[in-house]
Amino acid sequence: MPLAMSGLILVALAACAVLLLGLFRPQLAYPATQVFLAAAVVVELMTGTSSGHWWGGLFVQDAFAAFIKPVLLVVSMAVFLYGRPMVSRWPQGEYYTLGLLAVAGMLILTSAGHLLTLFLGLELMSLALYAMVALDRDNDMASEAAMKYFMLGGLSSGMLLYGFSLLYGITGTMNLQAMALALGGAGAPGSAVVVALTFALAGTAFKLGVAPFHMWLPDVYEGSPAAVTLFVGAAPKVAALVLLARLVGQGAQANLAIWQPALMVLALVSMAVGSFGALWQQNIKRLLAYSAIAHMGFVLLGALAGSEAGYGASIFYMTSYAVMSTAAFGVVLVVCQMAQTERIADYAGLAERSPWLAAVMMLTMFSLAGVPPLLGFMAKLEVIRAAVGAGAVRLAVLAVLLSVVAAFYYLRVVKVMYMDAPTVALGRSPDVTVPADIKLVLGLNGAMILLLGMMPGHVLHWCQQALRGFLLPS
Amino acid sequence: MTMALSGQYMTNGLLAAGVLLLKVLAVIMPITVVVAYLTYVERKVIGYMQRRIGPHRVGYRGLLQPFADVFKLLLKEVLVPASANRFLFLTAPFLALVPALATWAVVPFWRGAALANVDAGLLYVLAMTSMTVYGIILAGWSSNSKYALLGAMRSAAQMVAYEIAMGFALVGVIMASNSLNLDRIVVAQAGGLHHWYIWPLLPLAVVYFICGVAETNRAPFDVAEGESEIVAGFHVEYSGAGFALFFLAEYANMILISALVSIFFVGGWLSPFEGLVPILGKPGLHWLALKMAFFLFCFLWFRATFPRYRYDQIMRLGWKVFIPLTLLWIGLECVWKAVGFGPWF
Amino acid sequence: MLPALPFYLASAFLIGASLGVVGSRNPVYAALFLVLAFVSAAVLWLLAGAEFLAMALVVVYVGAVMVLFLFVVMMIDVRLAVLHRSFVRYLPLGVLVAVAMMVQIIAALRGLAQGAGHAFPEGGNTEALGTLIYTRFLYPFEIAGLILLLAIVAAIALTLRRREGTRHQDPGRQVLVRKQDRLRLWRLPPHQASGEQLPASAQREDT
Repeated sequence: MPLAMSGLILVALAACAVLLLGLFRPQLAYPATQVFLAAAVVVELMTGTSSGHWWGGLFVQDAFAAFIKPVLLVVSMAVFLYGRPMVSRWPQGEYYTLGLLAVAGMLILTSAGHLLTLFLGLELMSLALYAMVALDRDNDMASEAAMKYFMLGGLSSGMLLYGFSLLYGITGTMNLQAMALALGGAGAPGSAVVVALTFALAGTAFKLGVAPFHMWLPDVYEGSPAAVTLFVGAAPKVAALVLLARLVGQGAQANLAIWQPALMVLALVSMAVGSFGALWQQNIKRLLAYSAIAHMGFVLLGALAGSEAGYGASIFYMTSYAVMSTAAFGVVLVVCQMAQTERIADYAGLAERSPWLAAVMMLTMFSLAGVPPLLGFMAKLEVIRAAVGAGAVRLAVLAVLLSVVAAFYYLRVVKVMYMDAPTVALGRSPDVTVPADIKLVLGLNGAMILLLGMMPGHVLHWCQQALRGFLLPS
Repeated sequence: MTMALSGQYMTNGLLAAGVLLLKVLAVIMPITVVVAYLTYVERKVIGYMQRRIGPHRVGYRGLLQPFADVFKLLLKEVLVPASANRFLFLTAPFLALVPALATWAVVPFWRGAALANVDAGLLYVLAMTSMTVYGIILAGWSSNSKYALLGAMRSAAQMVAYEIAMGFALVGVIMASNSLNLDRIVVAQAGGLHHWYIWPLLPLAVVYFICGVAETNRAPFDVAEGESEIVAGFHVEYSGAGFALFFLAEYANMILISALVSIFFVGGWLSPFEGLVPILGKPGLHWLALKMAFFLFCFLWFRATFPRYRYDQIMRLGWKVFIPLTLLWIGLECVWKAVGFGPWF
Repeated sequence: MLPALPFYLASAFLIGASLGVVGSRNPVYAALFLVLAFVSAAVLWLLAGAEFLAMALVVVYVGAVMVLFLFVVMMIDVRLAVLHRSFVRYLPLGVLVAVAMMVQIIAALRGLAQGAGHAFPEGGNTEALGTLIYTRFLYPFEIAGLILLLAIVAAIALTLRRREGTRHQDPGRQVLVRKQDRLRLWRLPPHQASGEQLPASAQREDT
């Protein structure tokens, strides 16, 4: 058994332990989850460097996995922390067990060098997410959102599997490296590869929430309880990018000519739909959903280069996005607890009521809009640089223009918070004290957005390092 | 030349098909006769247990009673309720009967004597027995009667619950014999009475037999019929030949379960005196028949003895007792197999 | 042609049954067509020599999943007319998309017909399958186990509602009941008429 698997095994065991704890000591489920995740981060950092391939690529540990896994774990920890006050009414053992299993699925996916584990990891993650959305059963909106998520998620899994089966039929292997060689070879029939990759890409785009496969996203974001929206919107996005990188980047790296145009279209449509769609949203979660769609378009800008530097930029963008969206949803969650509202108009006067929250939210919104010197700006710069490097200059120009459109609605939130008079919701809300740890981590989160934006060198360097050797030497 | 060859091919094929047909008939005919007399024995046994005589009018001591019943049922009118789904209503009895008879294809009567001695025979048995429920469900639904529907629902939930424990019990047998082939499972038990799987797998054998009783919807698990609450359950609307087919299916299933228990746990056609007594020690069909007769007697015995289970108790027994029990025993068996326990593993 | 006849027959049944699933107006018929489709698929696998997969398909899908499916379909009241209307409305578009996709896929995959794919080993492959699952593919097999655990937890978490005030049986407590819990003996003065209040003089007799 590979040493690098220890973190994954720890998380899987944690899921079982937390399930039992939930039965006997529900109040310990949350601290146990955090302790296990923290232990997993430590284990990953210690064992992650022992790279290699096991069992014909079923389990792969490379620099890429060694970088992604701690990110996934840390993001999940923050997400559980922010969500805790809201989920305290729900069945504790079940919620954290599902969450840990989702994390386990992401870890499996990250270390997959084989179609089988790629799919199984993805399903483990997705199934846990569907159930988490529906876990608050008195909430009808959540049930509806879960249903939509489940239906479209199932459909996308079906498309993905169909693409997988065709890829297996064409190449006769499920190992991604062997597949890359076979697809690059002369024997692979071009038209069949196109069909296979179309299905695989469509399925991946669904999971990533890229337009025009984004229909589920606004409804799911809005309908889910904010704690689960936060979960769905952070780490699983990173996992979906990993799916794209492993499947298309590694498995079909020789077929750049087939998928690069497709990714260009997806990126452009996604940025446009995300930027324009968010303009007239009244619900903050829906707004963040459209923002997610737009950001996924930017992520694809990096990935479509098909080079190690391009994927590095994508991963950097995605990591930054995870940090920003965690912070944004963290504030949304607190306000949700405080004033029982998700309307943007109700954020009026937040700056007076709670300057700390408003400051973090402002920082996050500026960063999401791509205002220098924040993290979001650096991330955008990197992916646009990658896209220009790949020769997609016009697309890069369009991306910049669209991000100007997007800046409008981010700034509207800031304007409402700082300039509008408080509405009833926030004004008469009871004094809900925000737990100190949440305040602290929110502050840290905001500080990260600022500091990493000003000094991105280290993280950027790690991202580029992580992708070294990701692609086969051509 | 090719014509001649293909002609020969055809005749060979026809010949093979004819032989196969005869073999199938040779299995089905005795089963039908046994079913007929099983009904007679049932009434006699339960009669004596309740201090009655049972049927004794038709023929010597009532021995012709089954034939009288068959004629009565076949001559009756087949009624189809006014708003029933006619097609499914008439198909359902066959769907109940076909799997009950089809399973016999892999049952070995003595060494190598099965219609199809296939490697995955045990899986085939599981697949076929899992399909028997369709006849009941469809009968209940197509009758357009609330009692029938209730009976069908009960039956469906019950079958699904007990199938799992049944499958787990068979996993124990598979592990012990290292085979899915029914023939080889019996051969693996050769070597005398103490080699039979009933000893090391006693809980599994008991669970399997009880699940068998439940799967055939026999007392005390006959809530699908439950005449005291839901009249006659799924077959309340059936008369004449349709009812006869359900009857046939139920009894054929009983005989099948008895045969399977005999094969899986008590050595099938093997003699209990193997290696001890010269003539009695020989294996043969008669031993299988004797064992089956014993288990069939148990079916009747249960019916005369036990009151019907309440529905929630049935579910509790299936999910909360049998499944954990079988899982536990499979775990234990793993350990035994690893350390080499007794003459069995 | 002749040896391939069973294959074409089972395939025809599979396609016909699948069309039936989509086209049936009665949901019970649709479910039954799905059963037929599963059985046909099992026959196809059997013909390909994959007897374990075929039997597992029948046991799991036909024997358990579809039974529960039918169970649910029979209990809910589906408005056939409404279903039918939307079906007819979307039929032209659906057929168009389906045909277009089929033509494209056939055109794309035509070159793939020969060569690809692996033959199943002759005879039984259950053992080979088992060996592979528990050695080379142990890791994905364990992940599948995790997914099933997840499914159990999710299904129970989403459906189990502890209702207040239901009277359910607890066999453990039933077994633990003792005589003192149920039976009290009272010593009554012999001349007291029956049916009246217990007199204060009645004494509890310790049992």
